[in-house]
Amino acid sequence: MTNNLIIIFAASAAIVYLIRYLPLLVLHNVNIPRALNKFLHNLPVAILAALAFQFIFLKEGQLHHGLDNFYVIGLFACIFLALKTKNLAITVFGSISLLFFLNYFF
Amino acid sequence: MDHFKEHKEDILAAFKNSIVFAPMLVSITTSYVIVAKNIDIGPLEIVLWTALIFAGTVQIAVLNAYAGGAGLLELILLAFMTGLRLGFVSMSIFTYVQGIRKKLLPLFSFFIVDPAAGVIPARAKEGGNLPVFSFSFLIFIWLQWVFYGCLVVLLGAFIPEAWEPAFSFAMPAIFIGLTLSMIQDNFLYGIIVIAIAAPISLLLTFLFTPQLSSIIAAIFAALVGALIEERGGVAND
Repeated sequence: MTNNLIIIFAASAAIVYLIRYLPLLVLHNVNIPRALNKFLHNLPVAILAALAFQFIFLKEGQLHHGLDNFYVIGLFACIFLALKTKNLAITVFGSISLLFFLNYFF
Repeated sequence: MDHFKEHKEDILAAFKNSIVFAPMLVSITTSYVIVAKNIDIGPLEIVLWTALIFAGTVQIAVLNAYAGGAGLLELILLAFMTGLRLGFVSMSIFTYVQGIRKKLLPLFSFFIVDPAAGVIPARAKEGGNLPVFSFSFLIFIWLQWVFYGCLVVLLGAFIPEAWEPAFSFAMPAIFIGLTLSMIQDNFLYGIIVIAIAAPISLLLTFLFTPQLSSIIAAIFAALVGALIEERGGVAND
């Protein structure tokens, strides 16, 4: 591996680590106002929803909402399984199995 | 040994929760290993950097850009932009990990990944020792990450390409499952947050990169959700 790559990897590792650590360091044992607490409680829901929908509806950076987007069917299957079973493993493996089936037959 | 017995339930729960992420981890490590092998990075270096960076999107984005001729400054900026959402994951879980001793925070921080944003708040509702669970969960995810990295380096050529789309759906499936479990106690406000975050994160991709779009959408949705909830609480008083 070249020196350049070593520097790039080291810099990436340092940046990612600081991004993870600094918020915890700054906010640790700080009393935060109720409104900010609510915001921070909503943040995981918002981030996960945003990431999930981008994964499902974006293909190579473009919106992919056509009928050939099996991930949309996977989305509905996921929502159904999650609400019905309240079990993460069933939700994940159930929807993956459905997608294996769709990809294999269509 | 006493510590382990005392916290056995939390550690086992952490292990069970981490296994669900196996398909997602395999999918991401496969993508990373393919990109790394294409630019002639050796297997040992692939596994080493997988273990030390532990951020699949950053690794893939940086290596892709490097292969495309990007300079060091561009790569550092790219690492920052693609890794920024991990900072929001840290912020979103910090209220749940206040019980972790300050001197352990530097070590704990290294292991923070996207799944933490969902699993740790969901576990908080079930009880148990949250710091022990959180730490154990994240370490199990990292161990799997390194293990699958080694496995894919050795056996990646044998994974049928046709399996990849289904495997990679594991990530949104997990996120959707976790999101719905997190909003159960406050379903209406949770749906409002999701209904704002999801379409805005897509619409903003016309203006910004997907990573930046997801951050802006998440902040805006979380803010609006908090404001609506606050006003709803005031109105009910």
